[in-house]
Amino acid sequence: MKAILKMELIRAFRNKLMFFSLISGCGIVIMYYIFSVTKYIKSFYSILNSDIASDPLSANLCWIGTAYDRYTVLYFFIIPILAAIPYGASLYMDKKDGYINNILIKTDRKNYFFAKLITYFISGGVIATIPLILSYILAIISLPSIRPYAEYSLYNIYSVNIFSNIFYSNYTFVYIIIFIVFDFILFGLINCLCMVFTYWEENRFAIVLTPFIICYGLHMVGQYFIGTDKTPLTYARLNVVSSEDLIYIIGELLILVLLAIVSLRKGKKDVL
Amino acid sequence: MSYKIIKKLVKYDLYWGILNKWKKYLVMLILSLIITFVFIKNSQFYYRLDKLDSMPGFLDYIMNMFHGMKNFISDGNTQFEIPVEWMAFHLFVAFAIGNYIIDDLEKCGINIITRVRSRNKWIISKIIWNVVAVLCFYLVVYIVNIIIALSITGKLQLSLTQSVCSKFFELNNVNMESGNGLLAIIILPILSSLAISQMQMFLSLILKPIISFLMIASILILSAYSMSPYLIGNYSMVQRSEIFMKDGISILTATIVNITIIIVSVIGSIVYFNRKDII
Repeated sequence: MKAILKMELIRAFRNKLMFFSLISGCGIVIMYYIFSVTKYIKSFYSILNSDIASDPLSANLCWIGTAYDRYTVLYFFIIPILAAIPYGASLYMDKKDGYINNILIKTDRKNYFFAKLITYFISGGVIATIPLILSYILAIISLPSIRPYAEYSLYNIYSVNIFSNIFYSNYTFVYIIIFIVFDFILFGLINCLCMVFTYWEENRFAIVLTPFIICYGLHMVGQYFIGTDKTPLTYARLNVVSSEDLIYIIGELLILVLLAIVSLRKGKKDVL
Repeated sequence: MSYKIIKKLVKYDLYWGILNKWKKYLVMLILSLIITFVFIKNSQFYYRLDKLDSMPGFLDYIMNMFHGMKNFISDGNTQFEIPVEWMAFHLFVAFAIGNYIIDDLEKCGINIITRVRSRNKWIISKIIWNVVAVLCFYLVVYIVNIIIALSITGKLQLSLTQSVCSKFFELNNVNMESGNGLLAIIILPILSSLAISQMQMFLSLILKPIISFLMIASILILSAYSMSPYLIGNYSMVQRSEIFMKDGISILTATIVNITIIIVSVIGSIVYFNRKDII
């Protein structure tokens, strides 16, 4: 199991497309830093130099996760595609070029599909979160990480939002870690949809776009019926999630886990 | 002779790229049905509350599909709402155009090129297919909305309803007296879609189809967020046209830019494909 997992992880990460996805994600973050964070920095120093007392700007305000900006919108919109580009069609390609036949002679079918699923999960999570981590690092090296206070009304996190008590505490970094871990799990599970749909779809392009199409479809349904706050394209930004949306989000994550398990079972029953 | 070969190639592409992909057109049909029915349901709700003077007609349905959104002004706190109808249509067209050309090239394109002894004819046929495929998507949307309009209102209303526009699109004083209104609602979205699709096909020849889709999706979302003439998605948003918005995008500029993009993409596709290593 270990050997096959290691091999799949190497296939996923030593890959030109993985490099492309990470560079694209980090590129958006760097553009965000150049065009938006630098404005925050200028504003911060102008406040320091003036005599007027004002609310201090903090690194917690201006990383891509909690800010409202064109780059934030772009990043969270395209991340399901970026996450699926390097490894999304891997199982389909293995089947198409006969690689799976050679592998299954040498290893257990269960191990192979389980390793595949874990790699889908990890690759999706890593692509989604590395740019977020980069953005936070860039923010904390540019601005002080001052403890946020709800009274300043500077932040887009309100008392109705989940974990707001952690954000407005001495442990703001814990909130950031929860945010990043949540996105890792969310986009990891969303990326597993590629594996699920490999059994139904015969088109590489469509398989890679499945997570994005599902996310966008849910967003559209959300806009019409239940509200966009309950759809992954919106709640990937944990700061907009209110406690009453939590039940929907947990439900959606459970469905994603269930679909991943279904894909595993289908894989085991697959006749070569 | 050359014309006959191109005709045969176009016939082949229309069969395999449109008729054989009928499921995609069925999805577009369902999508436009859902969008229009949700719009009608919402209109009925407001009509019962006396917030609408009359129910929407055919052109309002089309407006609902392609209106996009007004200029978004970010204050750092307002959450950006994606214009779902406009985005869904354009993303779906991009998805449908997607990888047909590369897929066909990998499957039997090389054999066809060897048989017809011309790369130009093959790529010209694909360009024609692209135009027809995009027009077919619009045809589906129009047919669906014409049928709905005729069955609900009994007529094909070619003017916008003021109260509907105020309520749903935040447009006051809609003036449709000149033909420019119809041009902005009907012709410009089609022209923009043709430009976007030709650009996508050109990009998928240079890069990979998935990366070209990613670029189109990025352009569309950035266009919705920022009103800029450099982001071509803006030209397909009816609400941002100068007809409906002060300081909006001029119809002339939109037409010139779209035609320029189409010409550059077509020439680029032909020139690049002639030099591309396809073996």
